[in-house]
Amino acid sequence: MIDKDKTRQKLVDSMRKTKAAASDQTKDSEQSKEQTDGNSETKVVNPKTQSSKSKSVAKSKAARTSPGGAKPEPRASKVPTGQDPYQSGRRVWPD
Amino acid sequence: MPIIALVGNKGGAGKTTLAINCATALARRARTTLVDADPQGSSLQWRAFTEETSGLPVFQSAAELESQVLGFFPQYDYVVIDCPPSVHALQTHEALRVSDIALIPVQPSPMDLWATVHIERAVAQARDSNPRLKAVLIINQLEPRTTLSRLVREALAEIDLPLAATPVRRRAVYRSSALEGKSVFDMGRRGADAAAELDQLIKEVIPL
Ligand SMILES: Nc1ncnc2c1ncn2[C@@H]1O[C@H](COP(=O)(O)OP(=O)(O)O)[C@@H](O)[C@H]1O
Ligand SMILES: [Mg+2]
Repeated sequence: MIDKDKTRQKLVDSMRKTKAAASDQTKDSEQSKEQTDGNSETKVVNPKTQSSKSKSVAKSKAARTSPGGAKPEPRASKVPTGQDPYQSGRRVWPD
Repeated sequence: MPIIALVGNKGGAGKTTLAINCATALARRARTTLVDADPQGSSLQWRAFTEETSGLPVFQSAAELESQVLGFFPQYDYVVIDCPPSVHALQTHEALRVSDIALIPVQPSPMDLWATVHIERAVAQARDSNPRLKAVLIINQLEPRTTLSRLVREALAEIDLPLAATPVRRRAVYRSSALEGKSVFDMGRRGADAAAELDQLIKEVIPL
């Protein structure tokens, strides 16, 4: 019982610390965004060029395109993908 | 016309498993399609494993996910989107922007719980342009006898998002069915408990 209480406390504390760190990070990135806005461009990585595996799956009999024939069109994004390891292809998973 | 996205910030949380099984369940009631927005393509691969003509078409996501998804209506009643394992991925942002409901599976494990903290902000940001977005945390791979499974609700209470009352248990049939390109609903008695918990979950979180 005492062990379970300790685990509970550790787990809840770790969640609170993670939340606090995430909100600090958010504030920092908002501040640095304000400083750099206007002279930098967010680079968008096209997900379709990220994985050769997905391409080969896409060619399989199961893969189809949208019935609406949605044409992929490159476009600017508000997403700060530049900092994202997933988008920049560094992430390896399943982890 | 509900659009349901399976999102998360961790690989292995159960997004694809819940996407294919919930989409199959919905396809039994209404016209449903599944969009695989994860470059890893697991949902497409699952579909490729079966020769059966199923009532659930699976599409690869287009670069313009939003217009692709909206293009499925009125032909379909439900669109389910299987997202990549990162809230920072472009596909996740687009899915959150277009969806009515974000389902967020989380495993009762510290690393998964910590990673899930970041979803709160991603949902809040998406609501700026998509105020109708509902987001629900779902406990997946619950093992009721372990300490962490018993404590997971308390840990998730630290995240400002509602938690589904129905958890999804860790069950071998979620894995064996995938290998056959099937859902737990197609596994007869072996899949009955899993099918029952998913039916209950769907009733709880998806308007039918
Ligand atoms: N409730 C469950 N019980 C047993 N195995 C599960 C369950 N949910 C997911 N899995 C297995 O865990 C692994 C990761 O699940 P997956 O759905 O691919 O996660 P994600 O799409 O979030 O990366 C897969 O091998 C899957 O079969
Ligand atoms: Mg997946």
